[in-house]
Amino acid sequence: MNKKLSRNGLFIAVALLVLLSACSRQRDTWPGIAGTTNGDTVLISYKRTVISLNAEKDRNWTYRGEDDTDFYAPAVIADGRAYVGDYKGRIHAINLEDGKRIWMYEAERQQFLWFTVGAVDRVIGPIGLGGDMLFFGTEHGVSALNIANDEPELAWEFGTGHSVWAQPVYLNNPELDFPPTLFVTSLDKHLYALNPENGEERWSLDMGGGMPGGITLDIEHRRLYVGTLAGEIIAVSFDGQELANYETEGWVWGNPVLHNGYLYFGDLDGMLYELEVTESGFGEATKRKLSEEPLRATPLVVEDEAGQAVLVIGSDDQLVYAIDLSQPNWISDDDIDVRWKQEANAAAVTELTTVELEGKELVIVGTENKDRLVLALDLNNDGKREWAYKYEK
Amino acid sequence: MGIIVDLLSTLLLILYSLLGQNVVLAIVAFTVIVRLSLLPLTIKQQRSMKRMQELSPKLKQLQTKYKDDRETLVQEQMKLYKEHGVNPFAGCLPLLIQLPIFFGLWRAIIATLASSPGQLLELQNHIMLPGLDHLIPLHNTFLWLNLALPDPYFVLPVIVVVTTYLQQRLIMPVRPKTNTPTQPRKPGQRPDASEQAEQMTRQMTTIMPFFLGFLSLSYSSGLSIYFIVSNLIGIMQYAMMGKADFRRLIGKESPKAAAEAAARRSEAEAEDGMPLEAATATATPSASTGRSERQLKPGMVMTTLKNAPPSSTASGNTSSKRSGSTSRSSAAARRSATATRTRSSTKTKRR
Repeated sequence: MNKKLSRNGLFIAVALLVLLSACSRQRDTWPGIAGTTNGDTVLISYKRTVISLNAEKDRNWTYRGEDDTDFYAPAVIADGRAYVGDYKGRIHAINLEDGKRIWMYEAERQQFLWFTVGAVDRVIGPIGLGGDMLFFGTEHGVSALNIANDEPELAWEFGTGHSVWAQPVYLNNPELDFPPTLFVTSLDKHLYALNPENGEERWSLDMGGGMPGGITLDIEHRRLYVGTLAGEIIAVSFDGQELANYETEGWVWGNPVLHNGYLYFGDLDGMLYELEVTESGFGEATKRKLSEEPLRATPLVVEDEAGQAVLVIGSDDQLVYAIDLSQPNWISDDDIDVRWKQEANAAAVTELTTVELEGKELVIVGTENKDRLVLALDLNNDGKREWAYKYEK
Repeated sequence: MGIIVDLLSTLLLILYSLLGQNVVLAIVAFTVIVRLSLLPLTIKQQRSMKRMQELSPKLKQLQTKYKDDRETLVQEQMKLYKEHGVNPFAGCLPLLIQLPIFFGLWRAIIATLASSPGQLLELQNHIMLPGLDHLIPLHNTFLWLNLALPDPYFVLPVIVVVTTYLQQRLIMPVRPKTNTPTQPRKPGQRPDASEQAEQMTRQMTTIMPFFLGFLSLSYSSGLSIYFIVSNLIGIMQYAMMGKADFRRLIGKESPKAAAEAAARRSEAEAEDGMPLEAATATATPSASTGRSERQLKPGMVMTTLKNAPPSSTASGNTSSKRSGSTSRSSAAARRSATATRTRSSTKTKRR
């Protein structure tokens, strides 16, 4: 009887687990996508691997972390290296050629008996680079590593009231007559300007809403633009003055893209916006419903084979849209003049990049579907799918 | 399920807004409100369980009486339920109604705390009232905790295990201590339904604390706070209803509970004119007879009871109640029981 009852108990426990896991099912996390500047490689951060693909979808290498840690932050590529953070708060420097680890930084954690205790600081956003310093957001703020001589060392930590999921932006432009500054957006609804040398706060500004997305710099106007979950795009001068704000229909997650004096961005209500940038702040704004589902990612503005600007953006509605910005009235009173839209067969929510393959310009977009994790769409051929990458461990 | 999650997520956000944007207070208030709103169902469930518990001795007797005739057994059981106005499934119904709400609570807390970009992106779909968007994301730090992540120092999971265990122990009845230990069953012999149910309950007492502890280790600390508050409210509810017996923590039953249990047993015996020990086919090596326990062959019924007065299995309190009950029993039942005893006695003597 005891055996039978033990079996019953086990059955109940398993049934509860299954039921709870079914009930608590959440949407999958999307891969982090990054491309090299010369357009020949795509890096995919997904689950326990960072994968390098060439423009033809062949795998160059696969990098695995120390143990069962996950990678979702897009890698940042500089000087033949890829820098990426993981979900255990470690930073990895990977050789772009062969995928070998150059170094790995891990914050010290306390041991208690045979347990490792203390908070794990997940790195969710991309890393920011500035000289010999590397900046990354954590669960409780932002940290800086000194990576001189390939010996990563924690330089400083700055605490915020919530996680930092966006890429910290390092500004150091001698022409600006402005001291080097690190700008950080946090989910605690504040924008911070820090001294990158020691992490001291220069100023902070309450933006009224959390900022999971990053910052767009406008060197010409000496200001930056940020989208918030309060449904606003805000222009802030480099010295911390709010210059203008524009209310959107829904939450703004990605950063706005600055092109030809206009900001382009989407919101989670599926609206696409074109917002004029003026000397005083914002000028005329136009908006149209592009999708019934969220436009989460930052749009990509690229030039087609004729040198015309095309805006590409993915949506939760499983479509990728390309819009011809060179057309007058592309965003007319009635509709949006979509150049092409292509099925992604899964929510297309990642940032976009491009690669070149035999003269073709391929737009790379990630999805939430493991079978079509990354898609390459031909920009100049109505978004025809050139290849789809299926995730393999 | 979606609408429940949306409603509860919105409620949690409203509480968060009203309670100074403190997530812990919001979760505590949220748990209290949900538990209070489910109180009528909880009470109904407990009443139904109590009625079933009261019928348990009679059911045992029927099982013994009709052990070879399953069809009649079912009919008699249904008749018994009908006579006492008990629906055997009434205890499950409130539980079934509560389940989606508890799962909704679970999901609402995880969704609202949004520990990953995917969850945060999803959260906007759960907010049913305009004007709450500006609260997102919630301030999720409390003491050493990031409420969206598991407790890195394992303090909350330990408290979850302890409070769940306490709650389970307090509500679970203690196995009545009689002078009639359960007879080991023969190989292949099935335990009766109530015995099985009791065993399952005991197993759940062991499994549930560790199960919830495991969940606390794996999911957000906010969920652990919900478990802890919910357990404490559960204990308080039982205490206020006079059902929490803290002696159970040390494996003892209060005299009142013991007396009630014994009274139920004696009443059942009296109605059938046959002591429960006999009905459940356990040998009764009473202290007074000094006989060792032995197993009966299938089909045999207990024998030694005429030497072992019913009061020997219970406290003095019970004894007096028993005699009172016996006096109310019908003469027919008495005659029938006497006949049974005589026959049984003969069989045993033959052994």
